[in-house]
Amino acid sequence: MSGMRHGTRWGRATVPLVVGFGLVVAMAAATVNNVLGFEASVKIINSSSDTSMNGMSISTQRLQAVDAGFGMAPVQQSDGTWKNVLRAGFANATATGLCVSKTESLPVVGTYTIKLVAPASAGTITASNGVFDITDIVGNSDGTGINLKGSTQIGLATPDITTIFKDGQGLPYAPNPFGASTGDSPLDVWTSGVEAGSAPSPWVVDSKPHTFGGGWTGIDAGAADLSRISARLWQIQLTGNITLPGLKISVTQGASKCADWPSGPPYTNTTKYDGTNLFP
Amino acid sequence: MVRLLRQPTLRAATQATVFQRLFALMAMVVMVSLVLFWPNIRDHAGQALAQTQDNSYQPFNCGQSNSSSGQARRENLPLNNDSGGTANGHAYPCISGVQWRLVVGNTQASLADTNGIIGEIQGAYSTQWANGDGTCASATFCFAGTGAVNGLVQVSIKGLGFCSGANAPAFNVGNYSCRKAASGIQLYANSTSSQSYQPAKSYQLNITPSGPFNLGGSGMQTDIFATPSSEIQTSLSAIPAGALGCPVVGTTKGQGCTITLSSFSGSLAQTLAGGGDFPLSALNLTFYYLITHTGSTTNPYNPTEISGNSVTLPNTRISVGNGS
Repeated sequence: MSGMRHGTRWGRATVPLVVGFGLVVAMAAATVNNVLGFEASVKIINSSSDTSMNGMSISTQRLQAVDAGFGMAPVQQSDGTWKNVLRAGFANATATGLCVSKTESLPVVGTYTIKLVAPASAGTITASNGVFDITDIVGNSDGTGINLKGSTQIGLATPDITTIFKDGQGLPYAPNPFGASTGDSPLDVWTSGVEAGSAPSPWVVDSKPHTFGGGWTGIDAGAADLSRISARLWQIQLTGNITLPGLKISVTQGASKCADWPSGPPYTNTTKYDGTNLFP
Repeated sequence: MVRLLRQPTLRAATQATVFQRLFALMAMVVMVSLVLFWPNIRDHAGQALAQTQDNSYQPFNCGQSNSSSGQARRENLPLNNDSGGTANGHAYPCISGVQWRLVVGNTQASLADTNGIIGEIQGAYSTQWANGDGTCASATFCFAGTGAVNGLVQVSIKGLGFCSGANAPAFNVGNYSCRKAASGIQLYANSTSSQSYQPAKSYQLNITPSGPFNLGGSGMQTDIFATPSSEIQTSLSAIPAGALGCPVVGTTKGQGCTITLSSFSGSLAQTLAGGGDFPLSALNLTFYYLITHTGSTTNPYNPTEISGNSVTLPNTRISVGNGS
């Protein structure tokens, strides 16, 4: 027995025990986040908000999105007619400052504007699975403008653009996350010149016409960084969560649109494109 | 376990002490196991599925017009780098069939002097695209649903940049530098050009930078699948043997040399550029597909490839107009 030490050397064992236990707890938390996609957030615009609106405007100081895409798509307007728009979307994004305005004219009431403003000073906006239908978007020169990052593809069929994961937690990506037409829009025309409503039999599969997105082109990017942008907006679809700190909603008489970007602290841009370095 | 119990020190220990030590040992095993098997679903999936056409990365069914299943129209595109080698990466796009145009200046105009330099191409290698060993026939560039085109040229560059003014940006191309700002840059896609399906109500998607934009960036490579009739105009002095060399590869336009991509293929681009960069005075490019990637062996769809700048469009308007 002499010279022999028995029992646990707690000093030595404490480190792996504590670290191991901590990792068990952390792994459980990571599993919840990665597998279940759990995220605590305040849902100000709840899931499946789908608002068809004409003449909307939207602006933000900066929007940084991961898994972003832009694709041409036909959309049906509230009066039943169809329109070509650029559908832009992302899997996850943060933004600094946001303004959305919508002007309506009603009998008796007259013209009024509803405006949603989350000021830049109120904090970072987060959003997931957002889709915007736009016809005109401008990235201003005193920011980085429109900057696509990573592997960017131009020329894809719009339904081939990928943004969100199918089950929200990891691969595989969801097919056709923009819900772009694959042949069921009246604006789809077959090469024979026949429109979708009377598609020739070889192109009708499962009682549905199929064009697989041919004729609708788009851009897919690993990430997008858009600064000081303003856009004419036709529709918003937010299926994921969004947090809008400091949100203020106002209704005012008359027509009014968002400023080019929401007021707030000066835009601080450390990667401003000043034309001095083509390949930073 | 049995061997541990037979060790003299452990044999002398009490049963409780053995379990205490085993407990400590188990804690270490747990720690090591967790480090090794820490859940990182996204990265793990990206590595496991790299270099494959896989529904995880390309989940949309890019089929044929008489079938709703399969990926019959999805392309298999080997990616290259600007030095004439393969980038060991592949892309598997479902092509819209709509042509994209990038037009800057006039490739058919006579270049008065080197003051016409408005940009540069960094590194260049091109080849007559003849692969397509996927589900589409060799050298056939398939479009979604139906339609295809043959004879495209795959141009692989490190970067494409335009000048914002004389000597700015401060880069040199051989003996040249920026001489004036690139203006009137047009990047657009018109649906009437589609050899696939065409929307009944045509559209034109316009991407209009009011100033210079650049394609590619540090650590990035760009592959462009363009028509052989696409043209670039470079300075005559950038061509080996100058005025004598230009007629071999293109058409002399004053102090400029206009080259079609059909004659630009193979190692010619490398020869022209001396393995490096060359100045640009005009560009008239028609392409069906463009991809930026890191040039590494990783899958270009890997989400880790989001760090490099690929398309920078300062002060740019993107608008949708009628195509006709």
